[in-house]
Amino acid sequence: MSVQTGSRPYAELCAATNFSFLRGASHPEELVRQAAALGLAGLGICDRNSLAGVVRAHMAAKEIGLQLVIGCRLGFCDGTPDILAWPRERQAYGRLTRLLTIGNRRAPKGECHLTLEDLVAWGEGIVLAPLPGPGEEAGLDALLVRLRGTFDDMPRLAVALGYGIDDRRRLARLGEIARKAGVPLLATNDVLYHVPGRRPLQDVLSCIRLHETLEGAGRRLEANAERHLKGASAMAHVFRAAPEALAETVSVLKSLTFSLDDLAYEYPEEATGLSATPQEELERLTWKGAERRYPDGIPPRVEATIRRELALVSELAYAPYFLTVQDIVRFARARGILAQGRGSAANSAVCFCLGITEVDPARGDLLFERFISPERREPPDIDVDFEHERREEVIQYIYEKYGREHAGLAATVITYRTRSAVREVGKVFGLSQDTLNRLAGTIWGWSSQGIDQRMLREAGLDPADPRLVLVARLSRAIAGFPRHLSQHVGGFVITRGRLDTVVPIQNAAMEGRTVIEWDKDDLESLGMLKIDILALGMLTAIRKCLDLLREDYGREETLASIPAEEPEVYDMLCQADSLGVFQVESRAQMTMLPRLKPRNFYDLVIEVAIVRPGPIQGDMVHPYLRRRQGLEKVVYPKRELEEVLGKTLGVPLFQEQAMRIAIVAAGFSPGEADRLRRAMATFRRVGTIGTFQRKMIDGMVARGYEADFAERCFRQIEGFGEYGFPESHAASFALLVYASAWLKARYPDVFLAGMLNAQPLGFYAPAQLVRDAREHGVEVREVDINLSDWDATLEAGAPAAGRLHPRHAQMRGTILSTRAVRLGLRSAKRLKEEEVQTLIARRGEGFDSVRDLWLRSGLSKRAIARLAEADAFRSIGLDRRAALWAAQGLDEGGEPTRLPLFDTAAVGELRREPDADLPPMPPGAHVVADYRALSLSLKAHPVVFLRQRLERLSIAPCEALSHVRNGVRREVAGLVLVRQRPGTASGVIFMTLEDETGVANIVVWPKVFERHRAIVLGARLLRVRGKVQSDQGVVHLIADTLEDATAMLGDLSGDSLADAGLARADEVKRPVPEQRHKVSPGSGLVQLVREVPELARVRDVHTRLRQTQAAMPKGRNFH
Amino acid sequence: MVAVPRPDPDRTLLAELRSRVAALEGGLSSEGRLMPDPASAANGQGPARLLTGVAGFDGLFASSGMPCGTLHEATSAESRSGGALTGFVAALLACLAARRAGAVLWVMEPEAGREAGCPNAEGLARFGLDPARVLLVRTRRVEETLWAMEEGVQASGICAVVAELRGAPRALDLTASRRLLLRTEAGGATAFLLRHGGESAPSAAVTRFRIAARPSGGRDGLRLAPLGRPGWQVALQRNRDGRPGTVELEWDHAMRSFAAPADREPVVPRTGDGPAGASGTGRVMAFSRR
Amino acid sequence: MPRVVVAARRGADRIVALNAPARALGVTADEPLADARARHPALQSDAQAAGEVAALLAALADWCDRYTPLVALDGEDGLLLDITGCAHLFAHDESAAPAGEERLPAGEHALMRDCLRRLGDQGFAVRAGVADTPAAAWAYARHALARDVLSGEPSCGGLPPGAWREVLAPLPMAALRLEDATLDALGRVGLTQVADVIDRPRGPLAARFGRDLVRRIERLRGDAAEPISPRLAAPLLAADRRFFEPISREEDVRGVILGLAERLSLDLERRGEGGRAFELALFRVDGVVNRVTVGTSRALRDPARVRGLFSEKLAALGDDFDAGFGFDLVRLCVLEVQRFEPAQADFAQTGEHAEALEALIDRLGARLGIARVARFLPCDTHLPEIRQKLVPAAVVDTGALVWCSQTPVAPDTPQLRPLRLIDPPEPVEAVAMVPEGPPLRFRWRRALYEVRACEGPERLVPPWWQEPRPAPARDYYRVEDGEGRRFWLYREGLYGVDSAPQGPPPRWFLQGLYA
Repeated sequence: MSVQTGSRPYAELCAATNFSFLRGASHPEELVRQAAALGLAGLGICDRNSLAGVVRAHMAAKEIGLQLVIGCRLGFCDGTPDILAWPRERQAYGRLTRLLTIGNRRAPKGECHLTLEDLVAWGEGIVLAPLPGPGEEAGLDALLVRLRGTFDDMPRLAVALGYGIDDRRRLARLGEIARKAGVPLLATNDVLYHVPGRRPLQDVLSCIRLHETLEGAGRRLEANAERHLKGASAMAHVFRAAPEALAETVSVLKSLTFSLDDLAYEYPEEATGLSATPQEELERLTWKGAERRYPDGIPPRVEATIRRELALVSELAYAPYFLTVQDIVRFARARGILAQGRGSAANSAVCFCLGITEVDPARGDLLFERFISPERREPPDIDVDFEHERREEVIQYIYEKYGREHAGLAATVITYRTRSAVREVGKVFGLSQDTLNRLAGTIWGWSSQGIDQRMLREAGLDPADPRLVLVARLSRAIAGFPRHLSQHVGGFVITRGRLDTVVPIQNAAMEGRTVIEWDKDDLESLGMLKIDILALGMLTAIRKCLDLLREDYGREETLASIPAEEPEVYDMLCQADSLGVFQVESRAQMTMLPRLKPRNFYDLVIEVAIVRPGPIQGDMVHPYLRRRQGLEKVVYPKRELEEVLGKTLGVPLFQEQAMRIAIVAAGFSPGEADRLRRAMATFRRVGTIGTFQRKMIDGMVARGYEADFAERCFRQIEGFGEYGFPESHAASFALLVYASAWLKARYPDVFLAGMLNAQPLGFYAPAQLVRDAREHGVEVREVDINLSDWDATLEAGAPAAGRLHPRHAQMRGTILSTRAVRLGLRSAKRLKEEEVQTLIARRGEGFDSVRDLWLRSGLSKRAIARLAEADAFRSIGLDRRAALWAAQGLDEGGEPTRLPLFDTAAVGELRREPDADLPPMPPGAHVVADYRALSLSLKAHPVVFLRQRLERLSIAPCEALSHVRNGVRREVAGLVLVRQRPGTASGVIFMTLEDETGVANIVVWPKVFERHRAIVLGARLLRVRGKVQSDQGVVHLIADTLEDATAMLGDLSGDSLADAGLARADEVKRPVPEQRHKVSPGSGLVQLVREVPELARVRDVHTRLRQTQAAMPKGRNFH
Repeated sequence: MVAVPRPDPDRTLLAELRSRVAALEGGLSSEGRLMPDPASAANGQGPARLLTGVAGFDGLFASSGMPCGTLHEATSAESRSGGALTGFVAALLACLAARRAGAVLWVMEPEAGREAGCPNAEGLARFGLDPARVLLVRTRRVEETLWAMEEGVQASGICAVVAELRGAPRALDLTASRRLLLRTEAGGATAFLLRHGGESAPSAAVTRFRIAARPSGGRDGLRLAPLGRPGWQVALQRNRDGRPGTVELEWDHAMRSFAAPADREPVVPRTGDGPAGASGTGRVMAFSRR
Repeated sequence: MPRVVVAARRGADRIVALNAPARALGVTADEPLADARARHPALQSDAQAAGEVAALLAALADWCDRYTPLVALDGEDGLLLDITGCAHLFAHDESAAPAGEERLPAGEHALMRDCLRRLGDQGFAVRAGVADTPAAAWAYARHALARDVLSGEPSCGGLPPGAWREVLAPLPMAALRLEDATLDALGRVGLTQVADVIDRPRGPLAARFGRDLVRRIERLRGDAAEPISPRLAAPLLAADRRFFEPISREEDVRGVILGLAERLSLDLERRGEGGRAFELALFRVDGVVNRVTVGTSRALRDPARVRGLFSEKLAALGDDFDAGFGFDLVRLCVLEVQRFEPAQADFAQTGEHAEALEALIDRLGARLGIARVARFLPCDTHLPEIRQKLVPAAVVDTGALVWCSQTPVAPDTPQLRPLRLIDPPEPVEAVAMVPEGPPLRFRWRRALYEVRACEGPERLVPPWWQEPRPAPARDYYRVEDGEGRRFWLYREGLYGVDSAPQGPPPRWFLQGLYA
């Protein structure tokens, strides 16, 4: 509206952000920016019973200089109309958060149940304004009078006029009500989005909320697009009959002094144990720990470091924080839970002495000051990883120790990703499930310009369908919108005062958990300390490995005591023989290992850090490799950077280094550098990165650096923004890399069992872990009702070193394994642990028949059938079919016969059945059934059965690739194990195929991918033709043609391949001429061509194919 | 408001019970439920006369109140006054339907629809006539319209029949209207012939109303007044049941009843509203139809 | 041109039928359309209208009653004919039986040939099998004849009495017509062919795979009977009368209808049912059959009313009623029945009223056409022109007609929506305030109106997702002219917002009349 008047100032006090889930259609930052652009006097954020969006708005408003009002739209469950609430000062804010907490805690997750009585109890100091919707005028006068009589603050009657059916009269009526109640009218536009163009998005969100299509939602959608932020003149026009309501917004604004900056954070007191102060206690524990760590005397250098660190901690008064972490780790250790700290402060000498980390400061040469600096006053950051299966114990310990009033988990804002957005938006547009799947499948190729028409066609969609374009456009807009709050994986906030006076607390989905409404970025923005209690699957695996080592080999090891720096371990890693090893098992890492050739611990630190977006986007990887291989001289851009870049051959690899460069080379103050880092972390949301970029590059150039280097440094920082990876993290991870590599190198049997027992974990499926272990000489034995436990176990076996695959011949002296691995029943799908434990408990001397198992174990018929499907009855001489036949024959209904009393000869006689005489199961079918039941087969690789056919097609075994020259063209075929498209590799897809001889690494360039999109994404058995590329023992096949060979798998489970082959010929069916039939009732029928009823045999083949396909791995996708 | 014989208490009770049960079973519309008229339900015929409560109107008829169960005629000068004409009839229908069970049969020809549009359910609902009770019959010829009307007035499930015609069609001659009158009076429903732009034509109907709108507001320069209540200038040109005369009526939406016009303060204050209000610019521009 | 027909099945648009060119491309039935289109973008597709195939199959089934009255639908694409005792009528067909079928009784063979030939002439590709039991015929037609289809001839064959085993035993297990879960369970223990189970002891099978499997086996073997449910209603609900001397006058026909309706009424009464749809079939001497159907809004068996309905219908036919040389057979059938709920005597009034109203609706509908007797169906939309829909009163569920759920009326609530809707809205010339304001005067149908009072605007934005270019917003005003006439006008397009310099300027429309 372009009505120009001498417009009076206006503040929009009621704007919903997209944290009013599926209602608000703009980010908090967008609203703040638009409010500033419109010249509003102030902006009030009022989300529905939530304060989840206020921190972001607060930060954005601070940056831009807008007065922000923290508020909330209270929705009631007792019929009271919505009431807007703005706390005037800190105390009132605390009452508001407690009010919301009360509402949250009594409601299921995601809901807040409030009554007017709650508000009456907690509303002091809060400016309140009922905002009646249409038809909510009755009783309003009483409500206003009550609010007026209860609190000191004058309530207001908020009015929103949205070009509705009867605005003028409504305003007049409400004005009358307000006048009678003696309260002022307050204008608002009840904002749902920042600009009118967001209306479609808001409609879509409403539909998602209502589980409706756009057509079906009808009048539940807004009638027009008026609920955007409006400027003072537009509001003056709308409220021309009540200008005083506009003026009131400004007087309310002026009366509100609360800002989130008023939340002074206080860390709780820690128990000081034997000492007087936390600092003294910390020092006592540290020196005690140091003696334990260095029984031969503390090295002077370490001692000096400890003194320096303690002084710093004292200066900043962080002692309680360290004590908290120490106490948590102590608790875990007492319970036998493996823990490992990481994060900026974790790899200090103090933390090593306190047992928070196992990384010896003497081993890494890491500087503590780099992580906490007195100038920045940034809180220290210590994350502690725990075994993923046992982290809950630690979490409950924290709740217990501090109480729910003082401790809460940070939230994680679950946002729409493009894929989930497409599904939801597509549903709103009424697209079929199938279309949704396909559309979601094309997301990889969406650009900012829109969806590629060609891609749509390839996916089998109609590019002319305007709905698809809309779906794509809106999905992109919704991507990044918060969808709901979830609990952070383990970020704890602990406060001295009541946590619920700082931020509302709500129930988490998990029983016994409570979560605050802010996420970790919000907490960091407000300078609040948090401790990350994280779960790490690898710690579980390592702990299980260490247990097995102790029990089966009598070897007692801990994370700290695993023999350090053994060359054999590094030899293995240099061969890229790292399947299953923590962090370095991905394709990219496997490619990097032979190039980087790690020979010591610090090399591993670099190995972990280098394959990350930061170094890759900064184009730092190749310079580093060249220097390491001695192909390039180590030089420093300027002398002043020598100290910063010394350890990494003059190339910045770690986040700390990049930040240091900003300070040392670009003249940033530490505070600025910190803001730069934060801006990066959220730059996509805020978008104010340009100024930093100019400042950094200009600053560096001005100090005599090359512009190119400066730009690369900046790009690297950008890369860290997406996934910050500091040296301290890398060091903690490197320790686990070494530990897991050592286990794999020395005890592949132990390693396999540990890994299987900690599944799901890592990049690879159990099938690949098993295969790798077998190639390392480990004998793996099948699941069995009489021999298997729930977990994989070790049994007596032969030394592995004697049975190595030729590929690993050089490890003969390294491998110490002498035992065989018995797969656990956990490998069998859909068996419950309790069932299996019961079975084991009642096994006694062993079961001798299916019936015996049934009668003694009490397992359900279904569970027994699953055991049979897993082929677990071999020890009693039954194969899969025979066992299944027996299991199927158990009479579930006849409960009494299960009592041993009735299991007498007589009953046995009665139930004796004729011999089943089942057709024998062909080997291919067995393998497929193994895959179906266990996801792996010890009998054979599925591709073995196709080898003859593949040979006829001149398809080479995967292993053959490593024996041919660079540049030779070959075709291979195999099951698709992994597809990976790293964001940093400009669209290249890495695939891993597997056949019975080994794996083949496929590289698919974007152009080829676009041609074969559906095949790349859909095939389970893939044929790839291309050029072999071999570099330092790393062999790739650069694909030029791909073919989906999944259909071949259909032959596997058939009873005879020949029969299936014949049946396939039936697929040619007789065409039916088009015809018109008189009885046709509808127009479409005129064109209807009736199919000859589908041939049964073909259907049979299809079914078989479908089943086989479903049994085979789908291939895991990684980004 | 309805002239009724003194109700027999027992029958009244029974009728009310029935009505309630019917309401529970969803048989009657909500409007019918709101104001059950015990007496009419009891004798099954509905009130003999409809009292509007406006003396000037009710007094025009012989024994006070418009007779029901017979044939009336309502016309407007031109079809652009179709809103007022429809409103007047809708108001009468709403009064009738609130007091009697049964559906309203609304018969119209395409010609009438083209001129004055289709009845709008939401609008009828605001008058208190539940659209769910309206059966809309679209005929092709006048003969069909008359036939449908005759069928309607004789059916027991119908409380009123409206037929819309344009002008004075030849098929609706004195004979035809007499026949219609006889059938109507033999049946139980009240029938209205609603003629858009109808010049006076011979008719056997008991009444002929000529309806024109009654202005409710005025403007003061560029300042526009808000709308008042709907109102009519009713000219009862012929009345076989009393005397002719003219009267002004208004409709009260909240009470769902007729009212005598009164000068009332509008709810919306005149100051500061209207397009020429606070915005001040008030530029005026011509828009073409193109 | 490759062409397919698709229908939504199992969450995807799947191909249910395809033509020869499509087949030649390797497209198959049951595959998702998108899969096929990914390979062949040129593929043309039509969505299958709901019930289309079912209607076609039903029509075919009815056509088949020339062979036997017992015709049952078999899934979506099959018919089952019980030709017991009917085949001999066709035994005179002398055409030689092709190899493999010679052992079939001549009548059965001839019947099958005749049926296939006629269906083939109509353009249907058909496979047919004759066997002792429905199950055997089903298995034979669907699983044993598969390969013969390649020959291009209609594929058919028969299992001579008692000769089922050698043919059916090698068939896949699916020929037993089992549930997928059962098939799967059988497959897991390697039982994949009919032969694998047909002679097995039943007990162990029943214990493992359920009674159904055993029942299927017994039915295939003929050890157990299989009931079929014929599609056409039992002859109880048809009554006919033949005339040696053809009748042709409408009055005569009406008289006959009454007589037939009385006979049907007795039947209906016995069954405790009433008819919801009746069909009158008038068989003309020259072989033409006229069929007239009427539907009713409630179960009905009163003969007079049935006759009344047909009378209206015949009256509506007018000159189209052509008796030609007269009718020699008149048949009245009940096509649809419903439990007959007599009106409750206690609350006779509403009951009577409702019944009378329905009778009126039927009568009006029969004469004017069902669609012309309508009720207002509310549609949940902001857009006034589609807010109400006129639906035939005879078919609408009155429970759906909820109009009065509006918010309670505050005192002085004005008439917010007009009493009459002009459809489509008519453009008017107007002089109005800009950027937003009511018209001060406007010209509609050549007459000029001066606006004296006004309320608004109410802003409605039509759905943005339907058209390629979103329709402009509308600002609605309620206005009154100097003579008290009231109108509903809107300006299409926001002045200065939607009317960017290059775009069309806003326009004014009149959409409704108020009282």
